[in-house]
Amino acid sequence: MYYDELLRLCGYEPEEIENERKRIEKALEKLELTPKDIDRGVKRVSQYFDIELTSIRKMMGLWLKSLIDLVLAREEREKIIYCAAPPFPQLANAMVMVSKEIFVTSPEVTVSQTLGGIFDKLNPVLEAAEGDLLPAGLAYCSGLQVRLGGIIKGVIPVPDLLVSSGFVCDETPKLDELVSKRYGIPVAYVDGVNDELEERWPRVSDKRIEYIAQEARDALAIFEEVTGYKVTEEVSQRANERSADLLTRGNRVLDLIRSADPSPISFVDMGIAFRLATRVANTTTVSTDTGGLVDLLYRELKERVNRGEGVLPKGAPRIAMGLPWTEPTGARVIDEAGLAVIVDMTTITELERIPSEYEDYWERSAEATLRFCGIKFARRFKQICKEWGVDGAILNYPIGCRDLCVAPVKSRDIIMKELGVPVLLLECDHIDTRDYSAEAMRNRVEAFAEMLKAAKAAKTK
Amino acid sequence: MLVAGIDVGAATAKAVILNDREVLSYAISPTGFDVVNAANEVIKLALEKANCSMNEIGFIVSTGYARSAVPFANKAVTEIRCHAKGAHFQLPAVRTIIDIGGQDSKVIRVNEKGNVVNFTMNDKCAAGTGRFFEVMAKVLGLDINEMGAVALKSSQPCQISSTCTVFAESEMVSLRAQGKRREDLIGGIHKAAVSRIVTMGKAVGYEREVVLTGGVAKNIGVKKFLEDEIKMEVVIPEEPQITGALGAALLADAELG
Repeated sequence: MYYDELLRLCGYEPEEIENERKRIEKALEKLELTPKDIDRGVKRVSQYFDIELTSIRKMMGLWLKSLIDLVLAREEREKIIYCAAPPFPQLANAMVMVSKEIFVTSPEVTVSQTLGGIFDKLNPVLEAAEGDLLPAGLAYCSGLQVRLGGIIKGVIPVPDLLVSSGFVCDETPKLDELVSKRYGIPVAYVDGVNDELEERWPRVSDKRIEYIAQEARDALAIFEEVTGYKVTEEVSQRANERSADLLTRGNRVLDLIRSADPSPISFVDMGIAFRLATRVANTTTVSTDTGGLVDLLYRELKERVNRGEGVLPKGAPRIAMGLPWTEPTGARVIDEAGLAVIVDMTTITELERIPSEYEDYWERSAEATLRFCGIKFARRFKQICKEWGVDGAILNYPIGCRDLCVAPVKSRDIIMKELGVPVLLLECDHIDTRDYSAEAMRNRVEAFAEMLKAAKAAKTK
Repeated sequence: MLVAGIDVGAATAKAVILNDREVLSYAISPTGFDVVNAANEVIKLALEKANCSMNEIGFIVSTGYARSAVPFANKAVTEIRCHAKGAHFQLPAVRTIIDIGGQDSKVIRVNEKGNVVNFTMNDKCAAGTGRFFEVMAKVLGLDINEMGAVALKSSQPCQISSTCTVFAESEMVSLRAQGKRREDLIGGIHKAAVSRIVTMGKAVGYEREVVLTGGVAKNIGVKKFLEDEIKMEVVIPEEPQITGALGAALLADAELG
């Protein structure tokens, strides 16, 4: 069929395609993906992603499976839960563990990674949201536009429960409230303010931790009411172990990337792999296979490193990045400029390596979450730049992101003044290509790369 | 050995030919639609002036927006690095370069060797660039080359939005209808553009010597308004429009060791 080539490219096995054909076709129809769109997908996957690596291909396949599961969830699952991304991943992690009948996801992540990243067909979804509650030109979050637009267009199902949070972004609960009224869906809010004393970092106020942890427990009570499933201590424990296991595997890959020269992986591929492994493994589909794929990625990269091969020239400047792009054309500019990304915001799993004094799972989770925001992000980013010995940092931020539109500017000042590490700020939306073009960024990224290369060469001399 | 630098920008293409780090010739011509043609034309002009042929050129570095499209270049380098090299060659004491080109503006900080240590540039808006002045000159029916001198006569520059060229254009029409003095309108245009650039440059800071490069540096009004705004003297090289191409030629020279 016209889509077989794309699926094979994305690591599907032939028998898997045969077995899944009915579901695949139903999902493609709902997504309004035409043969022309599929052709574009084939071209983009071949052009932007490292299809030499089986792990990357299979990870892309997993993203597609996640999309198909999401699109068909209403007819195949008992209940659907949408969790706000990214504030409290531990909640979704636990919900995922209770039953295969409950489909848990952050739909905007899956849809933007696939419909946007692979097919370059996100605009109709964004436009649907713009014609409704989130009009164009008012700096609304494109992630939320994807979620709302997807529901309006019928691309993704209306959920049975929204798990919302406003302590990182106030826009999310406001939208969820409106969506809740319109579709008659309950919302479980995990809420609170996110202000913290800078000097307390990496510790967080006890009261705030206790409060957020209680909010999480309350959300789970609503989850139980809606689904009939209880997140027990045992389930939380398993979720914790699974999450810790994924972090360990992910960190092994990161340690390899950090120590390798030349760099064995591009920024584009890092984005697709680590979003899957460390931040959004909380979707029902993705939770099944990710660990094995992360291990496969490690083995493939290790082989490259052992052969002395890489995707960039040896000695390329090593940088820390802000957000990974779900849209590969922008991310490719970083790779083409010859910059080796060794860490980005979604791979900062070291946050979880900081030991916690709390014994309760939800209090530990609240603490980990509360560390990752605002001024604390700037402090942590500085620490990472120092520990990882980066030559520079690029902090990209969408102007429509309530949390990130401030933190990168503060981070730049801190990193430059206190570490002397050059920082490039890039204002661009990593999801919405109407907001930026790769070519508009190229000049600045290339100039920044030249500056870092010259500084590195001067140091070597 | 002769080397060349070529800067194909949004508005003009520039070429410089060096012999042992001395400028042998340079040329400037409009870019137009066909960037390859523009590159060919401008290098041809420079070669003619230097009375030499392409075969005698040992290395060519291209820069500017169309740097990757220059078919005869041996290497492409961003204009930020080239402006730094060029300005440092023209004025070794330079530490800050303000480059105002056809459709972008940059503030570049360099060290004592002329290496870039930080920079900032406009990204989503052409306010504070040569295009801003071009549009305003057209609205007022003025020759762009006259604008600077007229701006200096302004005693009360009008308040004009510095965030959008298109909106600023309609503001101009409205202010003109209110009977504002021509020199104050033009002074306002300069103030708005300069304020945009100066604010942008605060991200990297200003340190003496400050050099102004790019085609807009030929506008004496911009120099004056910039000096008023940053409270520092602004130096303009002898031919500010070729600074990028000159830097490219110097990098070409360095390639040959």
